[in-house]
Order: sequence, then structure tokens, then C-alpha cells
Amino acid sequence: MVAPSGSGPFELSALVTRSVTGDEAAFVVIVERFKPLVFRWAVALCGDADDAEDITQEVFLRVHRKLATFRGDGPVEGWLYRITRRVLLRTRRKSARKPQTGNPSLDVYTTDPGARIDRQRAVDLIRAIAAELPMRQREVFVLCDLEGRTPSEAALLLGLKDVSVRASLFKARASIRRNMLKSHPHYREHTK
Amino acid sequence: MTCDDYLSVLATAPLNELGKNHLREHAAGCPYCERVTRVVVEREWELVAAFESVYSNTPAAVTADIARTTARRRLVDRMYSITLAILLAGTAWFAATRLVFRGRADGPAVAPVAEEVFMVRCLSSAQVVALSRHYLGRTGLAIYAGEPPRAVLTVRATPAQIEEVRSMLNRFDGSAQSSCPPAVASPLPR
Repeated sequence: MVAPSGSGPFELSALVTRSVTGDEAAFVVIVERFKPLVFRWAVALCGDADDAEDITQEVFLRVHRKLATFRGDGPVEGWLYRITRRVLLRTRRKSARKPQTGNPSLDVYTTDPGARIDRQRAVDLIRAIAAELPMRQREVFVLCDLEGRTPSEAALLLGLKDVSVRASLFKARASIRRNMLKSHPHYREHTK
Repeated sequence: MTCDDYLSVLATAPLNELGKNHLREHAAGCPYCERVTRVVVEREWELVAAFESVYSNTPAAVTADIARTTARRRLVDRMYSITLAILLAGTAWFAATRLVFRGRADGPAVAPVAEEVFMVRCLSSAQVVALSRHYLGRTGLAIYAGEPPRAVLTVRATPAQIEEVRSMLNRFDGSAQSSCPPAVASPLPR
């Protein structure tokens, strides 16, 4: 479930070097490789596909600007995740200041209605997590249970202690499963 | 293992741990826990599948292109803003320094102050003060002492003002047109 991080750090560093020196094709390869990952994070953290598109675009804009400063001493996913998180928080602050308008589920690019419905359903499912969990728990749940990372890997990505990640993960799971079982008649009966 | 024990494990355990022996045994023997487990597993896998199936509609090449062009545009914007800010700051500094220097250049010149003592023969202190006030203004100083015809007027002012006071005294105190009573000419010895 973990997103592909390339054929190795050497290839990635070569791509970064090429991109920094102006090779536009290298930057496209970097975007192709990491865009699905960044987009999924954005959807899971903000709960809206259109906002996630904007966040993803902004993330790669920053990546383009800061590629030269990427030292490569940590995982590129960690670097990307921190950028995504920063962009997301900034977007949230901005959107909190202005009133919400329009239909958020309008899809401009998709011409296939079936695909749109599938995607929308998936987004709706993920949005449910975004709605019920606090940010930290949501991040941990996405990285560990949806992406399949270990709590240690998630801790590295989030810059947290291992034990904090585990605690947040337990709380997130408990909350999500409680909500899943809310509608289950036997469970409801049992917990009365 | 009781149902409560099983459910408390189920509340926080990762899905792959639910297959462990003692848990699996309990779920297999308890229809209620088995149903609850199935609900959790199914919904969580559905969530994982949904997460993996979410995709962006914009092609990566388009995202990369927009990122490149926007990054360049923002860089130009930033450089433009910085240049503009530097120019504005320079202009403001230039204008401020010009104003300060011009203010200093146009300010009242501080003329040297001199002091001179005049003999007053007939003008009273009130008359001297009334006349000299006109010439000395606020900056000059006049001190009258004694009584005519041996009164003394000390003037502390600029040389130009002192000159004015001198001519005033010559006119009203010392000359033929002065208001002093004409001196009685003593008869020449024969």
C-alpha cells in the first residue's frame, strides 16, 4: 500500500539534480511519481477532491521552487508530506476567512460519469474520516492503516515520537470502529 | 476469552492481528463477535480500497507545467516587489534627507551677538525702552541704568541692531534734532 518512492535514492537524486539544472522532463517524472501519493494525502486530510487538486498543485509548485534545497538526507515522502501539511493548513486558514460558495463536487476534467461517481464515492468515504477525527489522529490513521506504514515510519514522517503515533492510532481506530458499528444492531444491543 | 475482551481488542487492534489464534478461535465460536468483526473488516477494507482508488484528474504533465510557470511568475513577482520596495525606500530616504538639509539651510542664521554701552543724556528709561524695542525685537537686550544726563544704556544684540540703536540715540538723544533741551552755550570768555 505504500506509494512507490522510485527505483532508488540515486535515481531520485539524479532526477532532482537534472530538474534543478533546468531539465523540465525530469520534473515531470518527479511529479508523475509522487502526485498520486500527494493527492491521496490531500484528499484524506481535507476531505474534498477539488481542494485536494488545488493543494496538490500548490505542493508541486513549492517542490519546484525548493527542489534545490532538498538535501536528500531523509525520505522524500517525509519532505513532501511536510509541504503538503503546510499547504493544507494554509489553505484551511484562507478558506476559513472567506465564505464557501459553489458545489465542491463539480468535476471539471472527468468526462466519464461512471468514473466520477466511483471517485466521488471513494472521496465521500474518506471524507467521513476527515469529519470525525482530529487532524493528528487522521494523519496517523491515513499513514498507518490506509497506506500501510508502520507507526515508526509514520513517526519519522510526522516528526513525532513513536509512542505518540501509537497512542493517536489507537484513538483513531477506536473512534472509527465505534462509528462503523454504531449502525450495527447487535453491537448496539451489546453495548447498551 | 469473553465477548467484552474480544471487543476491547477489536476496538484498537490492526486488522492483520485479528487473525491471531486466540482471537480467531473466539470469533469462530461466537456468531455475534464474528458478525461484528466482519463489519469492521469489510468497512475498513472498503476504506483502504477507496483511499487507493482516489486519483487526480489533472495529468501529471499539466500539474508540472502549471507548477513551473507559476513558480517562475511568482519569482518574477517577488523580484518586482523587492525592487519596488528598494526603490520606494530609496526615494523616501532621498526625500527625507533633502527635506532635513533644506530645513537646516533655510533655518535662521545664528548671528554673532555683541555688546555695547551708550551714554544717554536726556532720554528717560521709558523712552529708551519704547524706542529700542522697535530695533531690538525679541532677540536683542537693552539695560538702562542711572539717570539722565548720566544714564547708561547697555545693548546686547547683533551688530546690525546695535547700529540701529546707535543711530536712534544720535537722532533722539545726541543731535540737533533730538528732543533733548538744547544745551546752554556758555558765553565765550572775552
